[in-house]
Amino acid sequence: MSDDLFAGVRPIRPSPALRARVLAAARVAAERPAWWRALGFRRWDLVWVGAVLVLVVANVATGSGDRPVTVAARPARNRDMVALMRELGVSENAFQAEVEPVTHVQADALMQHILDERI
Amino acid sequence: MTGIDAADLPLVTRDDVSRLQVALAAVGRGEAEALGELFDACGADLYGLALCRTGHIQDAEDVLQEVFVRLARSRAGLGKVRNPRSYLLGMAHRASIDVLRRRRQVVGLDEGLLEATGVDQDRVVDAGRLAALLGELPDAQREAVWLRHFAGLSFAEIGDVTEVPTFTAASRYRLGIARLRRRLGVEP
Repeated sequence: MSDDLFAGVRPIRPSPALRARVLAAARVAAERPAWWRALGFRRWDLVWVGAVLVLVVANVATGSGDRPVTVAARPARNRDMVALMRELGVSENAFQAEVEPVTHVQADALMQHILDERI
Repeated sequence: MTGIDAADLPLVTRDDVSRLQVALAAVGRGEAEALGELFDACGADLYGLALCRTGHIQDAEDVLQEVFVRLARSRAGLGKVRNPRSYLLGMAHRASIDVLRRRRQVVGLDEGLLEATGVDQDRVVDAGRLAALLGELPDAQREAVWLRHFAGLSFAEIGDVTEVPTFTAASRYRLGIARLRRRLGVEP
């Protein structure tokens, strides 16, 4: 039997001083107010709740003013192509309403397409 | 944790279980005096498991205190626990793992886990050697061996405490014992 392996030995036991210390700590915990125990608050819980409150207050404090309006940059145009379109009577903005937002490369490609059809 | 009937317990009498259930329920009602009874009945097992798991006396003491502080705080449901010893050992198991996570280092049993029960000098030597060999086992195997031999739990209870299936608990125990036997040169 494997019991033979452990014949004559036993685990070391907690000291009476440890018993007193543990029970004293437990009694202190048990004497906390009922609402405190019900919430199960511990030190790190309070730190966590405090951090969330700070973030909420900071968000409210910094978010109430006027925010700067974000302006999207318009795509740059190929000047020669714009001039050519003007000569042909094509508005450079004629296609933008349908395709915005467009990138520089996309705008040039669309203009090129329109010019190909006109010329 | 509460899924084992008192009738299934092999090494603890039903009276013991009932007594612990009453004490646990009393703690649940806020009767702090019952904590002492629980300590006297299970404190040594909880301390031994914590020491077996963490490898350090200071950590084991912290675990023991943490278990009883948690008990004192969390009163709800204590009256419904069907197997108090497994319940408390499970708390010690989880508290030990928390300690190890905080410490973030591998367990090495640098404290004496066992002591000789008599004055036989040979057994004193054996206690030291056995403790050293136990310390060389993987954590899970060491815990299973300890829970089986020194806390007297069944494999089902060990599985309950360590949150693994019964088969896994039994397997860990057998592997641990087999390794101990090999190291001690003992034939099965």
